Parts: sequence; structure tokens; C-alpha cells
Amino acid sequence: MSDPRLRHWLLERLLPPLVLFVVVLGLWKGATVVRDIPAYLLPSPERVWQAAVGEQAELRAASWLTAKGACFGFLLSLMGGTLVACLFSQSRLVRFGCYPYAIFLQTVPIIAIAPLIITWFGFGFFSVVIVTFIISVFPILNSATTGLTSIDADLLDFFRLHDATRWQTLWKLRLPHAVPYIVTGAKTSSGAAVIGAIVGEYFAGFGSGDFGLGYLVFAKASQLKTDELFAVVIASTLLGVAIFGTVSLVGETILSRWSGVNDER
Amino acid sequence: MSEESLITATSLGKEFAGGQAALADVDLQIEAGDFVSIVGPSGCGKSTLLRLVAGLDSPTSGTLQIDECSPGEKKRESRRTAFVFQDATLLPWRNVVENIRLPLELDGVSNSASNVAIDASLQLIGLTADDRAKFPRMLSGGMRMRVSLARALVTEPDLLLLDEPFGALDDMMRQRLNEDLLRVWTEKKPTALFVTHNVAEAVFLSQRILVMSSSPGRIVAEIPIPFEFPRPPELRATAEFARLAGEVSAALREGQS
Repeated sequence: MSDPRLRHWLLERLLPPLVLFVVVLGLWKGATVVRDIPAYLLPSPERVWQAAVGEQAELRAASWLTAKGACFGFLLSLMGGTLVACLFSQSRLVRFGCYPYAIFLQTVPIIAIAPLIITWFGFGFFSVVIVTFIISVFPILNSATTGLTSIDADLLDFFRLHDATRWQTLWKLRLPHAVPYIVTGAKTSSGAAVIGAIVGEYFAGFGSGDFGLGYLVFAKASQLKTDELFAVVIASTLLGVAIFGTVSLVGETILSRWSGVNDER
Repeated sequence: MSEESLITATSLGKEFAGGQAALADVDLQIEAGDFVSIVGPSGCGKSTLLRLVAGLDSPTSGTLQIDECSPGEKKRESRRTAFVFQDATLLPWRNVVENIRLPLELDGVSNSASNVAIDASLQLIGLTADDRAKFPRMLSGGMRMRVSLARALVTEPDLLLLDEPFGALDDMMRQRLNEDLLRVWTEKKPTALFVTHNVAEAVFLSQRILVMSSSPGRIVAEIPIPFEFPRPPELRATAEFARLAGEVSAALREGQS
């Protein structure tokens, strides 16, 4: 505690959100008591806590399944998006020809194509991963394409002057230059992947004995178990924070090694 | 001609799309081992001329021959061209040694085989062992340009093309790099084509200065610089140096009017 920087950090960064948390919790509790709101509309904080503890086995299993769906979908997006961006970087014709259809992935309402995905791939984990992929691939594709194509003209000339092959230019110039862009895209994509997995489970998460958070949202809402629904929402949020945080941390580590920022200073 | 010139341009012209003429009617002869500077106001096409020689662009009229070939069909095995840009154009994710290794890597030289050439190049340009593992962002502008020069020299080029490489540096650093460049050139004797808008720099370095004027770019004067090599830094303070610099400046002014 003697470290003034740590104290400063605690006071500036940790204390205000904690205070806000307590205040909101107090208002919430107050509203349920004073206005006498029925539990199926707004359960009190302690009822949500009890529901979370009571259903913790179910919540943990569901979170694990959703995490798997989100991670598979995210990794598929990371690899697929980067690979397609590499193709885009090789030809303007391919890029300009395909890009409008890539935007389609970003703009299509998932509700509209969920029935199609279910028709083609059935209910279950695989369809969940497909939905996750559709929702999370665009940020990676977009930023990787930007990174792979925004190369300094002199550097491209340098590679040309030395008779570099397409492969050498991609591997030694374009891809390394795109790494910070891909990291940025991956952060956005990881957040989207959690949403994608939950939305995917909401529509397609049936068909096996295991149920993810998205299915629980659907089930708890239709049973009017609002306290348990709250617990599911909190679990979903925590999962999202965990996955986003992990990807951010890995990204920052890669970036700091990348250009030697931390090597000497 | 008993001795063929290395570079021969005959009524060379370059028009960009839209009909804007960057170069018109440029005749040029450069012998192997010469140090020739091209000076001119910005936008006069001197960089375009250099890019044509490098084979990075192709002319729209006239002919350009290097070693009796066009720059496009360069005999890569027998001749090596190196190009130094205005910016250092280093890869930020590679350290000094890895940056200098790049041209050898692109030529398919193995790491173990390239180490000797890298060491020689580092030493030649005055970089120390401490600098080897540094990344570009840790280096000053002058140091980055040194690394860029070392990267150009590592392939032992016999044609060295420099496009205003010291334009962004302060005057002290520019003079020191001029001296380093000249020392390297006297040692290795590549044919050097140096583009600049700095008259003093051109006089100090070259055996011959080509003065260009703009719109369209053409060569308006050719001024030989008869100083012996090696040239000491004090040369810049002599009356003859001032006279030649004055002559180049006058030719530049005349070309603009």
C-alpha cells in the first residue's frame, strides 16, 4: 500500500466503479422493497444471487458450452478472415469483386438466416459455431484487408526491385504489417463471438443433451423464472468479459513483442 | 565507342496517365564507376528519371539501356541494383541486422552465408555491435538512414541509386552521411546516381552534376566537378567549392526562367 502509484490506481480506477456498483445495487434493492415489485418483473439482488448459487451447476455447464462455441467460432473467424484477406490482398479485382458480399455477412440479420442454417446444418453445436462465425468474421476480414493492403509504396518498390515473389511479399511484408490490424480486429471479433454463440444457441442450441447460455435465456424467459434469467445474463456478461480480456491480453503481448517496444526503454 | 557507357538514355520521355509530361527528351550517358548527381527543383522529374533507371517505371518514349539491356530485362545475376529512398523504409518489426538481411533473404541467400556480408556492411557504414539488435523506432533519423544505406550496400551493388536520401536530415547529419557515403563509394566504386535538391551536397559528392528544369523535366546543364578523391570535409570551405556551387545554382536559376 506504500506504493503511491498503486494507491492512485486504486483511488482513480477501482474505487469509482465500485461505488457505482454499490449505489446501483442499493437502488435496485430499494425499488424492489419500496415499490413492492413482483419478483417475476424485477427480482431483488439477493434472489438473483440465490438463483445463481442454486443453479450454479447448470450455469457452469452452460457457460462452458457457450465458451466452446464462441472460441471455435472466433478461431474459425480469425483463420478464415485472415486467409480470405490474404486472397483479397493479391488482386484488386478479387477484392472489389468479393467485398460487397463480405459486407453482406456484416449486414444480414441473423434472425433472417437462422432458419436456413438450421435447415442446412440442423440443431446443435455445429450450427451455433456457424452463426458465431458469421457474426464475428467481418471485423477480422475488414481490418486484416486494410492491414495487408495499406503498405508503404516505397517498401513495395523495394520488394519489387529485389524480384520478391508474391509469396515473399505476403509473408515478409504484408502479413507482418497487418499483425497490429489483425489484433485490433480480433478484439472486436472476440466480443462479437460471445454474442454470436448466445444468439446461435437461442435459435439452434437444441438437439443435444447439453444446453448453452443462449438456450437458458430462451428457457428461463418462457418459464418466467426472472431471477434465474438475471443469473444467466450475468454469466453471459462475465463470459464475454473473460473472452474479450483474454484476447486483448494475448494481443497486447504480441504487439509489444512485435516492434520491440518493450525491449529497451 | 571503345568503351560502352553503363547507362545510355536517348531522347527519353515519360508521360503519366492524363498526358502530364514528367520527362522530355533526356539524353544521358553514365560510365561504370561514376558518381553522378542530378539536381533540380522539386517536381522536375529527377525522381522519375531514377525510377526509370531502376526499372520501377517504364518510359513512354525514347530508349534507356543499362549494360545494353533495358532496365526491365536486367541481367540480375551479373548486375545488382540498390535503391535508397528518401525515407529509410525499414521494416519496424525487424531489428537492424534483420533489416539489413532482407535483400539477401529475398535473393534466397541462407542466414549463415549472409552473416559475413552483414557484418561487413555494418562496419562499412559505421554501425556498432550495440546497434545490431535495436529496432528502427529506437534509432534517430540519421541512424535509420545509415541502416538503410547498409541494407543497400549489403548486396554489393554495382549500381547504387539514391533518391534524396538525406533530405529529411539536419545539416550536420547530412554532411556526416555525405562523408560516409563518399568513403564507401571510393572503396567499392559502384556506379552511383544521386538525386538531390541540395547544391552543396551534389558538389561535394559528385564527379559530374546534371542540372534539370521542370515541366517537362529535362537536363539543362552538365557541370563536371574536378576535385580529387578522397575529398576532406574542409573542401566545403574552399573558394573553388563555392565557385562550383555558384555555377550549379546559376544553371538552376537559368533553367527555371
